[in-house]
Amino acid sequence: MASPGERDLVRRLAQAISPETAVEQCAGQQAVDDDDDLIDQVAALPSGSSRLRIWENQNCLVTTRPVARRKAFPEAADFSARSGWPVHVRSSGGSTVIHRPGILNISLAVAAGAKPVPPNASYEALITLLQAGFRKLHIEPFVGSITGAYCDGNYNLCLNNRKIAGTASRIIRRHDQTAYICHASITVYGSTGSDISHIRNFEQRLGLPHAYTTSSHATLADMLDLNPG
Amino acid sequence: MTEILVPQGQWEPDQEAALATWLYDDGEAVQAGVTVAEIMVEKTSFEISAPASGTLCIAVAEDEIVVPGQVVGSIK
Repeated sequence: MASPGERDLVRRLAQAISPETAVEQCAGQQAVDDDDDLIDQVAALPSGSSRLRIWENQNCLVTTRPVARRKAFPEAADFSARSGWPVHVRSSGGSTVIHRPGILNISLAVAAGAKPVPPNASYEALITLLQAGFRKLHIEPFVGSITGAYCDGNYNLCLNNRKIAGTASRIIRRHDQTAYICHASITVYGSTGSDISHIRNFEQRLGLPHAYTTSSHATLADMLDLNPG
Repeated sequence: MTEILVPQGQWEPDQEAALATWLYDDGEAVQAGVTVAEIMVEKTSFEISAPASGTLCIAVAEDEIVVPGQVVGSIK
Protein backbone atom coordinates (compact mmCIF):
# COMPACT_ATOMS: atom_id res chain seq x y z
CA MET A 1 0.00 0.00 0.00
CA ALA A 2 1.46 3.33 -1.03
CA SER A 3 1.85 6.05 1.56
CA PRO A 4 0.29 9.47 0.97
CA GLY A 5 3.82 10.81 0.56
CA GLU A 6 4.60 8.28 -2.19
CA ARG A 7 1.39 9.09 -4.07
CA ASP A 8 2.15 12.77 -3.67
CA LEU A 9 5.57 12.19 -5.20
CA VAL A 10 3.95 10.61 -8.28
CA ARG A 11 1.65 13.62 -8.59
CA ARG A 12 4.47 16.14 -8.11
CA LEU A 13 6.73 14.41 -10.62
CA ALA A 14 3.97 14.26 -13.25
CA GLN A 15 3.20 17.94 -12.69
CA ALA A 16 6.87 18.83 -12.96
CA ILE A 17 7.16 16.99 -16.26
CA SER A 18 3.99 18.46 -17.79
CA PRO A 19 1.54 20.51 -15.69
CA GLU A 20 -1.12 20.37 -18.40
CA THR A 21 -1.04 16.57 -18.87
CA ALA A 22 -3.32 14.53 -16.60
CA VAL A 23 -2.04 11.19 -15.34
CA GLU A 24 -4.05 8.41 -16.98
CA GLN A 25 -4.91 5.47 -14.76
CA CYS A 26 -4.75 2.57 -17.20
CA ALA A 27 -5.12 -1.19 -17.20
CA GLY A 28 -3.70 -4.04 -19.18
CA GLN A 29 -2.77 -4.45 -22.82
CA GLN A 30 -4.91 -1.49 -23.88
CA ALA A 31 -2.64 0.84 -21.93
CA VAL A 32 0.31 -0.42 -23.97
CA ASP A 33 -1.60 -0.43 -27.26
CA ASP A 34 -2.53 3.22 -26.70
CA ASP A 35 1.11 4.08 -27.41
CA ASP A 36 0.77 2.44 -30.84
CA ASP A 37 -2.36 4.49 -31.50
CA LEU A 38 -0.55 7.63 -30.36
CA ILE A 39 2.35 7.23 -32.79
CA ASP A 40 -0.05 6.46 -35.66
CA GLN A 41 -2.07 9.59 -34.84
CA VAL A 42 1.03 11.78 -34.63
CA ALA A 43 2.39 10.39 -37.92
CA ALA A 44 -0.62 11.94 -39.68
CA LEU A 45 0.06 15.40 -38.20
CA PRO A 46 2.35 18.11 -39.61
CA SER A 47 6.07 17.74 -39.02
CA GLY A 48 7.05 19.00 -35.58
CA SER A 49 3.78 17.94 -33.94
CA SER A 50 4.02 15.93 -30.76
CA ARG A 51 1.74 14.30 -28.19
CA LEU A 52 2.52 13.33 -24.60
CA ARG A 53 0.98 10.68 -22.37
CA ILE A 54 1.62 10.30 -18.65
CA TRP A 55 0.16 7.10 -17.29
CA GLU A 56 0.20 4.45 -14.63
CA ASN A 57 -0.72 0.84 -15.30
CA GLN A 58 -2.05 -1.91 -13.07
CA ASN A 59 0.27 -4.78 -12.08
CA CYS A 60 1.68 -6.47 -15.18
CA LEU A 61 4.85 -7.38 -17.03
CA VAL A 62 5.39 -5.82 -20.45
CA THR A 63 7.64 -7.60 -22.88
CA THR A 64 8.69 -7.30 -26.51
CA ARG A 65 7.39 -9.05 -29.61
CA PRO A 66 10.55 -11.20 -30.01
CA VAL A 67 10.07 -12.52 -26.47
CA ALA A 68 6.38 -13.14 -27.14
CA ARG A 69 7.30 -15.28 -30.18
CA ARG A 70 9.35 -17.72 -28.07
CA LYS A 71 7.91 -21.23 -27.80
CA ALA A 72 7.77 -21.14 -24.01
CA PHE A 73 5.97 -17.80 -23.92
CA PRO A 74 2.38 -19.07 -23.48
CA GLU A 75 3.32 -21.22 -20.49
CA ALA A 76 5.55 -18.53 -18.94
CA ALA A 77 2.91 -15.84 -19.45
CA ASP A 78 0.21 -18.07 -17.97
CA PHE A 79 2.36 -18.76 -14.90
CA SER A 80 3.04 -15.06 -14.45
CA ALA A 81 -0.65 -14.19 -14.84
CA ARG A 82 -1.62 -16.76 -12.24
CA SER A 83 0.90 -15.09 -9.93
CA GLY A 84 -0.92 -11.79 -10.38
CA TRP A 85 1.33 -10.41 -13.11
CA PRO A 86 -0.28 -10.79 -16.56
CA VAL A 87 2.12 -10.30 -19.45
CA HIS A 88 1.45 -7.75 -22.18
CA VAL A 89 3.39 -7.08 -25.39
CA ARG A 90 4.73 -3.77 -26.67
CA SER A 91 6.13 -2.67 -30.01
CA SER A 92 9.22 -0.84 -28.80
CA GLY A 93 12.61 -2.38 -28.12
CA GLY A 94 14.41 -3.60 -25.01
CA SER A 95 13.40 -6.52 -22.83
CA THR A 96 10.80 -7.32 -20.19
CA VAL A 97 9.85 -4.56 -17.74
CA ILE A 98 7.28 -4.16 -15.02
CA HIS A 99 4.30 -1.84 -14.78
CA ARG A 100 2.39 -1.19 -11.57
CA PRO A 101 1.12 1.68 -9.47
CA GLY A 102 4.23 3.57 -8.41
CA ILE A 103 5.85 3.28 -11.83
CA LEU A 104 5.08 6.37 -13.87
CA ASN A 105 5.07 5.92 -17.65
CA ILE A 106 5.81 8.82 -19.97
CA SER A 107 5.28 8.45 -23.73
CA LEU A 108 6.25 11.16 -26.18
CA ALA A 109 5.33 10.76 -29.85
CA VAL A 110 6.82 13.12 -32.43
CA ALA A 111 6.18 13.74 -36.14
CA ALA A 112 9.68 14.27 -37.48
CA GLY A 113 9.21 15.08 -41.16
CA ALA A 114 10.53 13.31 -44.21
CA LYS A 115 14.08 12.54 -43.09
CA PRO A 116 15.11 9.43 -41.12
CA VAL A 117 15.54 9.77 -37.38
CA PRO A 118 18.58 7.93 -35.99
CA PRO A 119 17.84 5.75 -32.93
CA ASN A 120 19.85 7.97 -30.57
CA ALA A 121 17.93 11.07 -31.67
CA SER A 122 14.62 9.41 -30.82
CA TYR A 123 15.50 9.63 -27.13
CA GLU A 124 16.63 13.25 -26.98
CA ALA A 125 13.29 15.07 -26.66
CA LEU A 126 11.96 12.80 -23.93
CA ILE A 127 15.23 12.79 -21.98
CA THR A 128 15.32 16.60 -22.12
CA LEU A 129 11.69 16.79 -20.94
CA LEU A 130 12.31 14.37 -18.06
CA GLN A 131 15.52 16.03 -16.93
CA ALA A 132 13.75 19.40 -16.85
CA GLY A 133 10.97 17.86 -14.78
CA PHE A 134 13.37 16.25 -12.32
CA ARG A 135 15.28 19.51 -12.02
CA LYS A 136 12.10 21.22 -10.76
CA LEU A 137 12.17 18.70 -7.88
CA HIS A 138 15.89 19.45 -7.32
CA ILE A 139 16.90 16.05 -8.69
CA GLU A 140 19.71 15.72 -11.24
CA PRO A 141 19.71 12.24 -12.78
CA PHE A 142 22.45 11.27 -15.22
CA VAL A 143 21.87 9.39 -18.44
CA GLY A 144 23.64 6.09 -18.97
CA SER A 145 23.81 2.34 -18.71
CA ILE A 146 23.74 0.44 -15.41
CA THR A 147 25.26 -3.03 -15.40
CA GLY A 148 22.93 -5.54 -13.77
CA ALA A 149 19.77 -3.54 -14.41
CA TYR A 150 16.85 -5.16 -16.18
CA CYS A 151 16.09 -3.77 -19.67
CA ASP A 152 19.39 -1.91 -19.54
CA GLY A 153 20.27 0.63 -22.20
CA ASN A 154 22.25 3.76 -22.88
CA TYR A 155 19.34 6.08 -22.05
CA ASN A 156 18.45 5.10 -18.51
CA LEU A 157 17.99 7.89 -16.01
CA CYS A 158 20.10 7.12 -12.98
CA LEU A 159 20.87 8.42 -9.50
CA ASN A 160 23.76 7.25 -7.33
CA ASN A 161 24.68 4.67 -10.00
CA ARG A 162 21.24 3.08 -9.79
CA LYS A 163 18.61 3.01 -12.50
CA ILE A 164 15.41 4.87 -11.67
CA ALA A 165 13.99 5.03 -15.21
CA GLY A 166 14.34 3.00 -18.37
CA THR A 167 13.55 4.06 -21.92
CA ALA A 168 12.84 2.46 -25.28
CA SER A 169 11.73 3.80 -28.64
CA ARG A 170 10.03 2.88 -31.89
CA ILE A 171 10.48 4.59 -35.25
CA ILE A 172 7.99 4.23 -38.10
CA ARG A 173 7.34 5.62 -41.59
CA ARG A 174 3.78 6.69 -42.41
CA HIS A 175 2.43 9.09 -45.04
CA ASP A 176 6.01 9.85 -46.26
CA GLN A 177 6.88 10.99 -42.77
CA THR A 178 9.08 9.58 -40.01
CA ALA A 179 7.42 9.45 -36.62
CA TYR A 180 8.78 8.09 -33.40
CA ILE A 181 7.66 7.37 -29.90
CA CYS A 182 9.94 7.26 -26.92
CA HIS A 183 8.69 5.76 -23.69
CA ALA A 184 10.09 5.95 -20.16
CA SER A 185 9.11 4.03 -17.04
CA ILE A 186 10.11 5.87 -13.88
CA THR A 187 10.17 3.84 -10.67
CA VAL A 188 8.79 6.32 -8.14
CA TYR A 189 8.13 3.97 -5.23
CA GLY A 190 7.72 0.30 -4.38
CA SER A 191 10.01 -2.69 -4.09
CA THR A 192 12.58 -2.97 -6.86
CA GLY A 193 13.62 -6.34 -5.39
CA SER A 194 10.09 -7.62 -5.89
CA ASP A 195 10.03 -6.14 -9.42
CA ILE A 196 13.21 -8.03 -10.32
CA SER A 197 11.85 -11.23 -8.82
CA HIS A 198 8.70 -11.13 -10.99
CA ILE A 199 10.73 -10.44 -14.14
CA ARG A 200 13.27 -13.13 -13.27
CA ASN A 201 10.55 -15.75 -12.64
CA PHE A 202 9.03 -15.00 -16.05
CA GLU A 203 12.32 -14.96 -17.94
CA GLN A 204 13.59 -18.16 -16.31
CA ARG A 205 10.55 -19.97 -17.71
CA LEU A 206 11.51 -18.65 -21.13
CA GLY A 207 15.06 -19.92 -20.77
CA LEU A 208 16.46 -16.42 -20.78
CA PRO A 209 19.59 -16.28 -18.64
CA HIS A 210 19.56 -12.61 -17.67
CA ALA A 211 21.14 -11.83 -14.31
CA TYR A 212 19.89 -8.74 -12.51
CA THR A 213 21.05 -7.21 -9.27
CA THR A 214 18.81 -5.40 -6.83
CA SER A 215 21.56 -2.88 -6.16
CA SER A 216 21.33 -1.72 -9.80
CA HIS A 217 17.87 -0.26 -9.22
CA ALA A 218 16.33 2.29 -6.90
CA THR A 219 13.08 4.12 -6.54
CA LEU A 220 12.86 7.86 -6.65
CA ALA A 221 11.44 7.74 -3.11
CA ASP A 222 14.54 5.83 -1.97
CA MET A 223 16.80 8.42 -3.50
CA LEU A 224 14.97 11.35 -1.97
CA ASP A 225 15.30 9.73 1.45
CA LEU A 226 19.03 9.31 0.83
CA ASN A 227 19.37 12.88 -0.39
CA PRO A 228 16.85 14.98 1.55
CA GLY A 229 16.18 18.47 0.33
CA MET B 1 9.47 -12.16 -56.85
CA THR B 2 10.09 -8.97 -54.86
CA GLU B 3 12.94 -8.83 -52.36
CA ILE B 4 12.44 -7.63 -48.80
CA LEU B 5 15.37 -5.43 -47.85
CA VAL B 6 16.72 -4.04 -44.60
CA PRO B 7 16.19 -0.27 -44.87
CA GLN B 8 19.24 1.90 -45.49
CA GLY B 9 20.31 5.10 -43.77
CA GLN B 10 18.11 4.64 -40.72
CA TRP B 11 20.82 4.16 -38.09
CA GLU B 12 24.53 4.81 -37.60
CA PRO B 13 26.90 2.44 -39.44
CA ASP B 14 28.56 1.36 -36.19
CA GLN B 15 25.25 0.34 -34.59
CA GLU B 16 24.38 -3.35 -34.65
CA ALA B 17 20.94 -4.28 -35.97
CA ALA B 18 19.13 -7.58 -35.51
CA LEU B 19 16.11 -9.00 -37.25
CA ALA B 20 14.00 -9.16 -34.11
CA THR B 21 10.68 -10.60 -35.25
CA TRP B 22 8.83 -11.86 -38.26
CA LEU B 23 5.20 -10.91 -37.76
CA TYR B 24 4.04 -13.47 -40.34
CA ASP B 25 5.10 -17.06 -40.89
CA ASP B 26 7.04 -18.36 -43.85
CA GLY B 27 4.56 -19.17 -46.62
CA GLU B 28 1.85 -16.91 -45.26
CA ALA B 29 -0.04 -14.50 -47.54
CA VAL B 30 0.64 -10.80 -46.90
CA GLN B 31 -0.68 -7.57 -48.34
CA ALA B 32 1.61 -4.84 -49.72
CA GLY B 33 2.45 -2.27 -47.07
CA VAL B 34 1.79 -4.34 -43.97
CA THR B 35 4.59 -4.62 -41.44
CA VAL B 36 6.13 -8.06 -41.89
CA ALA B 37 9.21 -7.79 -39.65
CA GLU B 38 10.87 -5.67 -37.03
CA ILE B 39 14.50 -4.66 -36.79
CA MET B 40 15.96 -3.88 -33.38
CA VAL B 41 18.85 -1.44 -32.98
CA GLU B 42 19.77 -1.40 -29.31
CA LYS B 43 16.40 -0.55 -27.72
CA THR B 44 14.83 1.05 -30.77
CA SER B 45 12.55 -0.90 -33.10
CA PHE B 46 12.05 -0.27 -36.82
CA GLU B 47 9.48 -1.77 -39.15
CA ILE B 48 9.98 -3.56 -42.46
CA SER B 49 6.95 -3.38 -44.73
CA ALA B 50 5.95 -5.86 -47.39
CA PRO B 51 6.99 -4.37 -50.75
CA ALA B 52 4.24 -6.29 -52.59
CA SER B 53 1.28 -8.57 -52.00
CA GLY B 54 1.88 -12.30 -52.17
CA THR B 55 3.42 -15.17 -50.26
CA LEU B 56 6.13 -14.41 -47.70
CA CYS B 57 9.40 -16.30 -48.05
CA ILE B 58 11.70 -15.83 -45.05
CA ALA B 59 15.44 -15.93 -45.75
CA VAL B 60 16.89 -14.68 -42.46
CA ALA B 61 15.99 -16.12 -39.09
CA GLU B 62 14.96 -14.09 -36.05
CA ASP B 63 17.80 -12.80 -33.86
CA GLU B 64 20.29 -12.80 -36.76
CA ILE B 65 22.42 -9.71 -37.25
CA VAL B 66 21.52 -7.82 -40.42
CA VAL B 67 22.99 -4.88 -42.33
CA PRO B 68 21.30 -2.14 -44.35
CA GLY B 69 20.40 -3.27 -47.85
CA GLN B 70 20.51 -6.96 -46.96
CA VAL B 71 17.86 -9.23 -48.44
CA VAL B 72 15.99 -10.86 -45.56
CA GLY B 73 13.16 -12.41 -47.51
CA SER B 74 10.94 -12.07 -50.53
CA ILE B 75 7.35 -11.90 -51.68
CA LYS B 76 6.31 -14.39 -54.39
